[in-house]
Amino acid sequence: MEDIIKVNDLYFSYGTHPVLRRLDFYLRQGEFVAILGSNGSGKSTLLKILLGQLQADQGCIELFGQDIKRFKDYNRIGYVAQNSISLCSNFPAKVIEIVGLGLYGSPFKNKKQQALQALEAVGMQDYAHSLIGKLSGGQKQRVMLAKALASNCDLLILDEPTTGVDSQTTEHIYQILKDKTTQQGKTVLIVTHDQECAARYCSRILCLGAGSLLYLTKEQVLLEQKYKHKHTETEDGNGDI
Amino acid sequence: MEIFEYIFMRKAFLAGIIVAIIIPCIGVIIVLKRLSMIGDALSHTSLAGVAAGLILNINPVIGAMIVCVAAALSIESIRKRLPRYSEMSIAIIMSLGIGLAGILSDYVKTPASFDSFLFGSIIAITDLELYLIVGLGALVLTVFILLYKELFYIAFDTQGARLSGVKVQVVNTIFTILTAIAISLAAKIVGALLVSSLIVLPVACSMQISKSYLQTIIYAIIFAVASTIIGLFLSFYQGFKPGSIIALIGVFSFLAVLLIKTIYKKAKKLKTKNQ
Repeated sequence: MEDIIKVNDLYFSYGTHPVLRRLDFYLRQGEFVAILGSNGSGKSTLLKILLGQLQADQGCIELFGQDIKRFKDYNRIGYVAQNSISLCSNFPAKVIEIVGLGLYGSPFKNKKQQALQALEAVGMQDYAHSLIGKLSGGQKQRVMLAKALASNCDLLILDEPTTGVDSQTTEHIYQILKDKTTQQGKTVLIVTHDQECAARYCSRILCLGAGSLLYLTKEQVLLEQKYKHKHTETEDGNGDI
Repeated sequence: MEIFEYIFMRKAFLAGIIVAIIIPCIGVIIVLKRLSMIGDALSHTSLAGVAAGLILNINPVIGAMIVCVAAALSIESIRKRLPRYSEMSIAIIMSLGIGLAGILSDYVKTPASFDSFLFGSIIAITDLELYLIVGLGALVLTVFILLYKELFYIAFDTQGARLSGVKVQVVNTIFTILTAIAISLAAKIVGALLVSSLIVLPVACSMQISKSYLQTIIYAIIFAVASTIIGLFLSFYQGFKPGSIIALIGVFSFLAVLLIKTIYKKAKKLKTKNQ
């Protein structure tokens, strides 16, 4: 399998404040990888570096086998940003117009059909002609996912795409992403706080802490989740321990 | 009709309608990028160009255009250097522009010509100015249509647009120049003090009723053209300053649209309740 992302010995700091230290990781074609980590651990910074918005202080990054400094094919990457819901608020555009933006520069002839298919994939086809600003947070998030999917990109990068989304929609989004990797060979990198979904749907889980990455097994994540849950219950006075 | 027997009024209608078509196109992007104040900054700064033009004996509209383009590019440049406080760039350039305009205006030999740019002078458009408005108006509209998708994408999500392959930097620079040209043309029609009314109000009205991005642009143009035509009629028959009355019509249109929308919503709610 081809390495879609390869990171070696990556360092990054904001001024004198180090954020990422000696980071090594890879992402192979068809993988669905989650990055977990507490707030401020550098998850979004790492994504910004991968998307070419920030430059690493040191280290080597390859995207689709090309050095990131020479990499130009960013249209092979679909991206759903952390603030994607806020972009939609009060924006006077139809859902299908927004999804159509994801097809910018694509060679497809029937772009409208392509956009409708992407909306269908996220279960939003009935809202194609609704105003984006009138949708709920979860619906907006699904539209932004459809926009990324419409581009038929090879790699999907999602930054906390299920924040503020109900559990049913969250499960639905994870299932769509998993199907994309298993059925179409797409690669997905998701930054999330949702340990349960990550353990259930992702093929690998990485944990970012103190600027470095730790590989976790699904069992470790579920065990930690279970411990956290019990700990909370004990603090509330309802637990068994 | 009597109004159309006068050449100056025919010129006024032609120039006014062209400006009313191009300004909302630019205005939609400006409003969606939350940069409404840029219209004020550039139009006020254009006064420095008007004064310089009158002093140097070149057409004030050309002077306004040169200063406007320089000011718009400077705002973009400062915004890039101060990304977290980008709105400061508008205040800095506006201060520079108004300061310069105030000082240069003292050296203008015909103060009446300078004053006409404050509230507009649509009924005193020279042939050269009309040619400029027709030519540059066509240019602005053509470039806007050619960059329709790119501008839409950047207005919605600059980061996403960059990743999809939109040349954000190039498109933004072109748009900045178009904005400066459109504003300096509009300054002649409605006056430097009122340009932002033509940029913001038709878009604000349109956003209340539109159901898509394309509709937002089309309705904004309809509102702007209607305000200009009604404004010119009222100005001819009632003697109002054209720029001022066009701006006031814009404000009343916005209030009327808001009122009608509220009544419509309440009526719809009542109907649903009764069912």
